[in-house]
Parts: sequence; structure tokens; C-alpha cells
Amino acid sequence: MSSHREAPAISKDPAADSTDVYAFVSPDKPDTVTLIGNYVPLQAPDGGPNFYEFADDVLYEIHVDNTGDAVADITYQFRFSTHHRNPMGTFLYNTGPITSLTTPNWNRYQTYTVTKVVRGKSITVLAKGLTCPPVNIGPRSTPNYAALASAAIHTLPSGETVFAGQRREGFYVDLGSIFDLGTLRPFQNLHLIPTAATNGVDASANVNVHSIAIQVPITDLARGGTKPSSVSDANATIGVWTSASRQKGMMRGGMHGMPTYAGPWVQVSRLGNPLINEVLIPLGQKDYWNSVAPSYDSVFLKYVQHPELARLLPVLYPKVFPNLGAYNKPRADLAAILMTGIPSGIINGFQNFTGKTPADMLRLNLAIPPAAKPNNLGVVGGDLAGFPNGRRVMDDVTTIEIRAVAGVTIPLVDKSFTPDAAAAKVTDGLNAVPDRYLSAFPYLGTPLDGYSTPGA
Amino acid sequence: MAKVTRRTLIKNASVGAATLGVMAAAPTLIGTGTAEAAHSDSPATSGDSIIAHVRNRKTGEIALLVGTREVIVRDRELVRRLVTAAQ
Repeated sequence: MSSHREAPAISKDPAADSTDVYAFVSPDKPDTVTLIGNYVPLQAPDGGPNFYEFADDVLYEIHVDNTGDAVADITYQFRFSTHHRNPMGTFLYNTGPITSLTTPNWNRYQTYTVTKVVRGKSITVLAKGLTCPPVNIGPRSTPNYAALASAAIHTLPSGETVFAGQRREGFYVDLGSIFDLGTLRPFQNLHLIPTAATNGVDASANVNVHSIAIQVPITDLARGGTKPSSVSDANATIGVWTSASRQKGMMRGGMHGMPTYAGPWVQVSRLGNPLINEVLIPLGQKDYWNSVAPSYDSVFLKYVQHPELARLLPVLYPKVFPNLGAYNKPRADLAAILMTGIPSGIINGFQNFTGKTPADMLRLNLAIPPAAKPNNLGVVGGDLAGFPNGRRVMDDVTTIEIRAVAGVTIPLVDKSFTPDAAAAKVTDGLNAVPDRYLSAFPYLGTPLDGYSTPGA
Repeated sequence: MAKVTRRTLIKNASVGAATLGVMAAAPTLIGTGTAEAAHSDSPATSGDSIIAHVRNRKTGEIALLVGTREVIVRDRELVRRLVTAAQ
């Protein structure tokens, strides 16, 4: 959702739309990292009879850079296959209660293959034929959904744990407000076009998403194959992003009306930090941004250094952001947070710098343990285990990034700047709702069922 | 760049056309199959066909999409014949 329908082309291709990326040291298994890529945004839970699913013709990938060059050193690839148990006998997704992943009542199901690619050369199929859970339909069709989802958590012989299937949306944002000329609903009385102040509205409270989650030993991801013991260790930080690709050629009108595909994979979507392509990259560059690798991001650095939103806030909220309005220097704070990582010496006890190559990656310092009492504002809130040190499922990335753009992080790199008083208070008016998350893998909560959540 | 002659291109294209012919006949067979037969929605992919894209008529550049590869060939005579056939 932090990158849902964020570019013109991908907004028409939801099955390939990378919507959120999470990367964090697993709170219940701190020797592992959990990586999650979300796709297929804004799912109405009652969206049958052809419910949401992964696409067989999309290559889904989670990439990890552990050498600081914004080139993937380790990539986990996921390919899906859709099957019917009774293709000619019924129009239904299920013909009775789905009480197990192998029940004949479940007509249309998906399996997937996980492949690990190391430095683009070593290719290892980690597992084939792994089963996804069904979508959550309702109490008659999926009476014990949590058990079905648990059965779809697979531990691989190579040591990883994987899950691919529907989850409840974990990202929260007041979409309707923000895209109505930058309104922040708690403060709309201060807007250039004012209305009475009201509470924020969570636009994603009643939608689901499809998640690909993999939990990996830290030693599999860290450069050198050992768990970093020091935050300042040069090998401590990894960069993470996801992508979705389609084959270059497609011919419609094949067997069963299905298209035929051929040719190399072409990237159509990618995502590292939340909201980059959504609110920093201009409209005419968004599709191009989705087509290139993070190692090309020097082309887009100017949009991070001179964000349009930072120019708009003083205009949309007159007299609220005078200091921000007068600040004309390139935003080195945003470039560090989003494009290179934060070097040592800026925040006490913290760094996630990966080198000078500007690239949109989530940067996770593997030596920072999970927080005993997480703060959803992450590093801005004094919790070094949260965004922008990777990203946890409940982190309030919208508020964090709005405050950063509003200037609250400029003093990290420019002591001459005094943030406006509003910069540290601005928010989209929402908080994480605990029942949207799990305390264990895959951490994103049980999806809402269509029977109980109609018309979302 | 892989070396592809006009002869091999035409030969491969013929294989692709033959494959499509088999594919066109298949729906009838599947349509009469048992309802319990397992069926995959997976689209046809590598090895099933070749998609040829004439990228530049003047230089005779053709992109062949096969499997998960793209092979570029230059054959002005073949492109000339294809253009003629397409008119």
C-alpha cells in the first residue's frame, strides 16, 4: 500500500504491483531476518467468485544487497502455478468447507516454487509445489482460517521458512485525505482550503493483500556469512527491495484462451522504501522508475533532494511551515535516510550506511536487536529497530516520512536549521491496530473474510 | 549475440507454427475430459513458441523471443519478405 497503484502502468496490473516491503530482525527469532513483499493491493475481502491470487505469468523477487553496490547478491524468486481440481464441473472456487489444503472441496488453488540466486550465477531451487492457503471467504467456506494459514507455512530443508498467500493489510494511511490536495485530516482546519478538524480515516482498515514472506538465518544474508556483532560493523547492513517482472512477449488467443509468453523477464514494478515512487517521483518518471534497478537511482536523486511535497507543505498550510518554506538547500537528510543509509556519527549508536551509491533500498542493520517495547515511529521515535532501519509491519511510515519531509530530520545534517514547531507534530492521524498483526511469522494478520466484511 | 541464419530462423518458426497447430486442436480433447482431471492454469512458456518482432525494417533487425531469452538477428532479405507478406 505504500506503493499501491503508484504509477500509471502498474496501476492497471495489480497482480504485479509491489505494494509494501518489510525487512526486520525477527522479534521471536532474533537469529533470523524476515523479508516480506506484498502484492495485489486493496483487495475487497468479498471479491469473489474469482478471488484475488498471485499471477502465474509474473516473476516475484526479493533482493538482498550485502556489498553496498545496490546490485543483488542474493535473490529469492517465487513462481506460482494455478490448478483446478474440477475445472469443468463447477464455477465455484470451493464446493464445500475448506478444512485442509488438500480437500477436494477446494477447486482452484495455487502452488509455488522458491529459487535462490546468488550473485546472478548460482541458482538453486529450494522447494517446489509449496501450497498457498485459500483466500478467507467466510465461516462456511473457510471455517478455521488460521489453521489453514498455519498449514501453509513451510520450513525448507535449506533452513528458510516461507509463506505465500492472503494477509490482512498491515499498512495504514488516510488515503482519501492525503490525495485531496495534501490534506492531513487532523489538521485540515489549517489547510489552504480549510474544513473542520476531524480524526483521520484508515483507508486500508478493511482490505487484504497478498504476501510473500521468507524468514532467513542472518548468517545466510550477511556479507561474510557471520552475524555482525557490532552496529558499526561495515558488514552489518543489508539493502532489501522487491520486484515483479513479466516476460517481454505475449500473444493472446492461445489454448483455453490463455496467452502465450516468451522472452526475457522485464521488470514492471519494484519497491524498497515506502512512498518513494508514490510521492517523490514525478508522474512522467514513475513507469520508468519501476522499470530500472536501484543501482540506476542516481537519475532520481534530485527528486529526493528537492521533494515537491516539501515545497507544497508551506503553500498548503500557510504560516505553519515558514522555516521549511525558506529552506532551499538540497535535502541531504532525505538522501541519507532513503538513498544511502545514515552514516555513523549522526545518530548515537546507529548507522545503516551502505556506501555512496544512491539507491532506493530498505537498509537493515543486522546487529541491532529487536526492540523490547517497539515504537511505531522507529528511529524518529528513539527505537533503532524500526524504520528506516529496515521496516516492521506496524511501523507508522507515513507519519515518519511526512515529518522527515516537513523538516524534522534536517538538523541531523544541518545544525543551522530549526524545524517548524508543526514538523514534529504532523501526522496522518492514525495508529497501528494490534489485531492486524501476528506475534510470529508471517507477522501480518489473518485476512478479513468476505462474509463478515462485505462492501469494503 | 547468438548466430542465427535465415534457414534456422525459418525452421524454428515452422516448429512454432506446428506447435500452435497442436495447441489449437487441444481444447476439444480437454473439453471432453473427466471433471475430476487435474488442470493447471499455467500459460504456455519456454520452448512452446517463438515470437519474432521486426524491430527495424531498414536494418533488418529481428528480435526472437524464445523461452526466457531474446535473440537478435539481422536479415534484411527475410525482413523484406516478411514485410511483403504482411501487406
